[in-house]
Amino acid sequence: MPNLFTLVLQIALILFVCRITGSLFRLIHQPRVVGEMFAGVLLGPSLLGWIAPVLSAYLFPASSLGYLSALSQVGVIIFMFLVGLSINPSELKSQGHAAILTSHVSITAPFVAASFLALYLYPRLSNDSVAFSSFALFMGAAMSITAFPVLARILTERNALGSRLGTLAIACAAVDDITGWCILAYIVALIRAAKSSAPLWMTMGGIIAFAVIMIYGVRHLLKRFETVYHERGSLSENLMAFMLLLVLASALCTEALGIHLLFGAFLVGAIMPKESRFVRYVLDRFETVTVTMLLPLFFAFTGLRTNIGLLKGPNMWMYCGLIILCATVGKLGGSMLASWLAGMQWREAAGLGILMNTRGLMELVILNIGLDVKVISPALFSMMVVMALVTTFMTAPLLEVICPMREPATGVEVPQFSFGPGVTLKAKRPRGRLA
Amino acid sequence: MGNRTEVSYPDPLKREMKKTSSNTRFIVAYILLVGLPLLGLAGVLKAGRGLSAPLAVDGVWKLDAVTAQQETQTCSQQLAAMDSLLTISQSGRELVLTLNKQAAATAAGMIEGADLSATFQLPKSSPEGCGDSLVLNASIDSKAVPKLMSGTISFRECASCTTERFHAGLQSRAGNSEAH
Repeated sequence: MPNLFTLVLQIALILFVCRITGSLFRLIHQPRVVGEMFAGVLLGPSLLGWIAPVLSAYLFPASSLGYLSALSQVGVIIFMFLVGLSINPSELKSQGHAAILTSHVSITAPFVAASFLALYLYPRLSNDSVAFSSFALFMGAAMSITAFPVLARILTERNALGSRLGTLAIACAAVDDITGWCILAYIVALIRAAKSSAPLWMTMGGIIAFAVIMIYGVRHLLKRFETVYHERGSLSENLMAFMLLLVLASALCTEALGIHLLFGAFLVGAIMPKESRFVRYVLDRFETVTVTMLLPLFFAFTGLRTNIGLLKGPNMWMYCGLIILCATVGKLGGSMLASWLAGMQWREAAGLGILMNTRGLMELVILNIGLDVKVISPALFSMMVVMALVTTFMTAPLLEVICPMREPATGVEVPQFSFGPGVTLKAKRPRGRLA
Repeated sequence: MGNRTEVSYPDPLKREMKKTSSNTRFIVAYILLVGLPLLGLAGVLKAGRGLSAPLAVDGVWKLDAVTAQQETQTCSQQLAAMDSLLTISQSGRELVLTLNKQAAATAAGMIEGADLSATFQLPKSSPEGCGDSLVLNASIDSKAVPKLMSGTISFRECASCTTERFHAGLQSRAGNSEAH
C-alpha cells in the first residue's frame, strides 16, 4: 500500500513549487510550462538532493516514487491524447512547398547532425548492451522533436499565431511531432523486440495492422463524437468517459504490441475529428486537471531522474555543450536555411528556426521513454534534459531580438482554428518562392 | 546585336512557367536538403557498426560471498556483513555504485575493459581505524549468464586490515526505471 501521507505531501509540494516557479518565469516573459520544467529539476537530486539530502530523502523516499511515476504517466497519457487532438497535419497541405520543405528539413537536419554526434558519444556515454543503430536513431528522434504545445503557447503570447511565421511554424511542428513519434515507435519496437521472444516482423506487423484498424476503422467511429457534439452542443459524461476509455484501450494495445502506452494515446488524438469547436470543447474538458496537476507531477518525476551531478569534469560538460550545439545548429540552422530557400526573408527564416528549436515537454516525454528502455544512460539523459531546458528557454528572448513582439491586430478577420491547449490559431496562407 | 526583345506570353502560360520553375526549385532543394542528408544517415549507421562501447554492468548485483579472512577484526566484520545488493548505474565508463540502495553508501567508479574499480567513502559512524574509504576492484565475466563479478574489497587506510574477496551475480538490469 502506498504511504498516502507521503504521496499527498509530494503532490502538494510539487504543485506549490511548480506554480511559484511558473509565475516567476512569467515575470521574465517565459511560458509557465518552462518554469514548471525547471521546478522539476529543482526538486530532484540536482538541487534539493544536493543541498539537503536528508530532506530530499524524507520527501521523496525511493519506495514512494513508483506511485508518483504511475500518477505522472497517467497525466502524460492524457496529455499525449490532447497533443494528438490538437495537431492537424492537413494544415500543411495549405501551406505549399515552403512548409513541406521546411518541415522535412527541420527533421532531417537535426536527425543527421545527431547521428554524426552519436558516432562520438556512443563509445563514451553508452554501453555494449545498446546497439549503435538504436542509439543513433534515438538521438536523432530526440533532437528533431519540436514542442508543439509550448510553441503554440509562445506564439499566442506574442500575437504571432496569425502571421505567416506562426502558421508555418505550427504546421511544421505538427509534421515534426508525428514523424518523430513514428520514428520513436520504430526504435522502441526494435529495442524491445531484441529482448523479446517475438520476432521483429511480428511486432512491426502488429503495429501496422493496429494503425490501419485505427485510421480506417475506429476513425469513423470517432466521427460520431463530433456529430453528437454538433447535434446537442455538448457531450454527455458517458460519452466523455467512453472517449477516455478508447484512449486507455489504445494505449494498452500499443504497450502490448511492444511499443509504448503513449503512442496509442497520441494516435487516438491524431485521428479524432479536427473541427475547431469540437477540438476546443474536448480540450477544455480534459486539460484543467491534466495541465495543472498531472503534468507537474511528470516534471517532478523527470527532475528526480535528472542528476546534473553526474556531469562531472570538463569532458562531461563538453559533451553536454556539444549536444546543445548540435541540437541548435541542426534544428534552428536547418529550419532557417530551408525556409530562406523557400522564399522567406532572413529575419523571418531565423524566427522560424528559433521557434522550431523549442523542445520543451515533448522532449522530456521522449527522454523518459529512452531512459526506460535503457537506450540512453543516466548521464546522457541529464545532458539531454539540460539541452531541452536550454533550447526551450532560449526561444522567447531570441525571438524577441529577431522578431520583436507585435501589438494584437485589430479589425483583421482571419479564419480561426483551435490549436493546442488554450490556443486559438488564426491561419494565414504563406507565400514564398516555392509556395 | 544587343537588342533584347521582350517576348510577351499570355497570362496562363506565364503562370504555368512560374509554377514549373517553382516546382523544379522545390525538387532540387528537396534532394539537396533532405535526400542527401538521409544518405549521410545511412553512411553513419554503417560506420557506427564498427564502434565498441564499454561493457554493460548496470543493474542490481547480489553480493553473495564476502569471505572475511579475519572475522575477529572489527573492519573485516563490517565487510562480512555486506551480504547485500549493489546497484550500478552506468554512463559509458563512469559508474555510480550504491550499496543496499542507500544514498549514503554511494561510490563513483570506472570500468576499463572488463575491470571495474570504485571507491566508497565510509560514513563517520564507521569503526575507528578502518580508514575513510573502501576500495572495490573486480573483474566481470561477461560470458556467464547472468554476468558474474568477482574481486576484492579493502580498506584504503587500514594497515592491519586484509583484502577480502567477494563474488556477485547480476540480478536484473534495473535502475533506470527508478528515479536516481
